[in-house]
Amino acid sequence: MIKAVFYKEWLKIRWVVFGSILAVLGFLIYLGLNVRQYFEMNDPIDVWVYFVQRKVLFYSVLKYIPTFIAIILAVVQFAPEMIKKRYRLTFHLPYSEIRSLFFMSGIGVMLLLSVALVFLIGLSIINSIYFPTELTISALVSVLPWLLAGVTVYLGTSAIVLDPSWKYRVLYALFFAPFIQSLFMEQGYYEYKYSLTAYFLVSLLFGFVILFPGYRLRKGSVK
Amino acid sequence: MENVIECVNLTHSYGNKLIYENLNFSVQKGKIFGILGKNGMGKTTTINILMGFLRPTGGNCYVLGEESHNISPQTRARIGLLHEGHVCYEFMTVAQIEKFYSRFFPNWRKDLYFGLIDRLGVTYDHKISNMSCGQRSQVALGLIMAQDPELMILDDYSMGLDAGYRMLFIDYLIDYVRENEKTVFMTSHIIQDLEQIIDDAIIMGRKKILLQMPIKEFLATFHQYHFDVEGRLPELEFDETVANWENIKNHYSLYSFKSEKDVKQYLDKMGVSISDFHEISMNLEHAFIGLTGKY
Repeated sequence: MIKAVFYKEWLKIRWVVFGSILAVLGFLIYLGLNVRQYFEMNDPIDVWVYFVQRKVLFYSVLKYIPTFIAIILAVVQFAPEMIKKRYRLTFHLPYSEIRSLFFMSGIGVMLLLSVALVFLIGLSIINSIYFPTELTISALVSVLPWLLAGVTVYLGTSAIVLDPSWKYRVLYALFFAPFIQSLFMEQGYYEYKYSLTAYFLVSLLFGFVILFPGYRLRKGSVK
Repeated sequence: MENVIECVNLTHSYGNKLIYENLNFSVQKGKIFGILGKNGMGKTTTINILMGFLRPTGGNCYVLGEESHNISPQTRARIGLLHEGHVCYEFMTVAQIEKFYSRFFPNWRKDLYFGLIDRLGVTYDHKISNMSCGQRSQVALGLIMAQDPELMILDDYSMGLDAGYRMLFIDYLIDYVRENEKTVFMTSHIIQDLEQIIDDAIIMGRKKILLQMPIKEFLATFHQYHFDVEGRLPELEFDETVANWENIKNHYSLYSFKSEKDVKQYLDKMGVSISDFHEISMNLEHAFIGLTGKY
């Protein structure tokens, strides 16, 4: 049954996953060319001062990409469940509704993380070509909050798409927004080094939010 | 005989709008049960309650022995549900949707599904979203039949279907249900189709059940009498004799469960002079309209 749930979700979102990987690769290529051009046009000392002393994150162009991908992924995955009330098909399957919801969002998170992995590998390759290992590690640590924001945005968007009531949609948005915003407040390297674990644990809790619209749909809060 | 569905004092309202109150009905095992009613009388509401998508504001419904708003996954496997508009996963192809559903049902009958699909003349990689409403209805029916459920709940199977697909749907359904001794609970807005399928029916009126009886008994005992009145007939009260009535000028139709003799006596007592009194035979659709009214 788990395989069947995965199969259905995969059919819905496979093109988003492939498209996202292509988009990430495109941005990484752009980033690599940009850095190379910067090194060619400037003195290495200036580059060092710019990127390290002034804490300019050269990969900040990637900052909101996980967020955009997460929104598209959640909409493509859950909007078909809401159109023509197809969620009723899912809830009529001989399978626990709670498990179904967790699997559905778990599959979304897993595929989002697979795109994130491409993102991280690509970024570490570009970094290791031009910068010392310390800076590569710092870059990977620095982008983790953006990826975590992507996962949280995915969970929030899923709940918003699944809930049929605009009132609740606004409530979910207000509930998720401050946390997501707080993951974009870095002004340099390693800024979330000590708080990242706490952020991760909180974002895990957001995974349960999908049960609220699920319960409301199952028990008939809508006509 | 064992009841597959049982509703006791079922009451539901949306906010202040009462849909119905204290409905009581049951569906026996092996019967094809129809729920008939005009739009807005609560047919789909009842199906939503039976499938646990709505919790009734009062009363209880039991489906296969479990409370309708708390049906276990194991029991859901024994219920085939056709959603209004033949809703299915349209992003899948004919083969993909079979592959998906087959994993959930241990008694999956692949042959039934593909037997029906083969008649449509579509390829297995045909995407369901590109199918006509009629073709989609066959996919949905095929999936339910392949599931091999004990109870089939069909919510307005006829929606969007032309006459040909309606007949195809009914032919397959009757054959499958009779051969496999299934219980069916169904609604349709095409009443005439139901005449050849259903054993028992309830007819829903505004906020209540107007009638529950075997369909053959209903057709045998419910009559339409036509007559002309000289002058004007007083306003008729609905009572034991008069189930409904209508007129165009001085031409009257009176619907009743009483015999011709009883109705004539009733009209005599009212002191009206009538002529050309005769009974008009009715099919289920006419009888339904006769009981519920045209408006």
